Amino acid sequence: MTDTESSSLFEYALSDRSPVNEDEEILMELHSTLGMSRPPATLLRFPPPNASQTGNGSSMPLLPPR
Amino acid sequence: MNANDELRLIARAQKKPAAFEPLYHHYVHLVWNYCLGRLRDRTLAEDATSTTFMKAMDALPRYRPQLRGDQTTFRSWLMMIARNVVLDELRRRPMAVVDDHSHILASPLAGPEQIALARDRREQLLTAFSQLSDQQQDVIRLRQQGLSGEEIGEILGISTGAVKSTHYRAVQRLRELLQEKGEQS
Repeated sequence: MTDTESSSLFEYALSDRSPVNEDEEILMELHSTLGMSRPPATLLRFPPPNASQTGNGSSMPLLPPR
Repeated sequence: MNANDELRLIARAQKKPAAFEPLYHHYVHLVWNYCLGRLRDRTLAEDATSTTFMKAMDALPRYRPQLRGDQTTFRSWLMMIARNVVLDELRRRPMAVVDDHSHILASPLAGPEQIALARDRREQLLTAFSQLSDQQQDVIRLRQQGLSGEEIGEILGISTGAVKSTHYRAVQRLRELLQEKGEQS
């Protein structure tokens, strides 16, 4: 792998160019498969619902401040 | 939202939690789609999104945003929290992967055969994607959501060069997995 290869493919990931090789086609196909979707209505209100209300609160500690 | 506006909003929200609302609405789609892409379950993604913002709001008074080019570091800080929440969820429920992208197939123009073919291909892609390492999945997903190599590197704790090579290797691996699947069928 050359830097040029990895960079061009990486930059392609969100570009609007037509795919020029198989790797780019896979990325484009994966992009449309994974897709982007609208959040559920409960998340469109602020503040968001407390996850612990549905029993799925995370146990991850808070990140240290930067 | 430009960087200076964002810095002002962050400063206000650090003093008054209710002032976080514009930041929340600006970033909830990004966090939601990242969580959904990694957890592949709408209920888990909804909880993970909520948890991410709760943690962010809790930590915000101690957060020190920085300017980076025409952006602030807030987005990568927020996505770092989201990633930790997702990884925590995946550790707690490693088998709770339920594919939920059914909305993507809901095209009124597709016939039954096209839908079946599209579903097969989609399953192949999602299966191959899920076989990538956590880091490879993160790099592809975050890049597809428009984050820069620098931001992704910050979120994952790796260099920008490592982000690019991880992305390259992830795509090569995806191609291999899809080829193997194609030869089997």
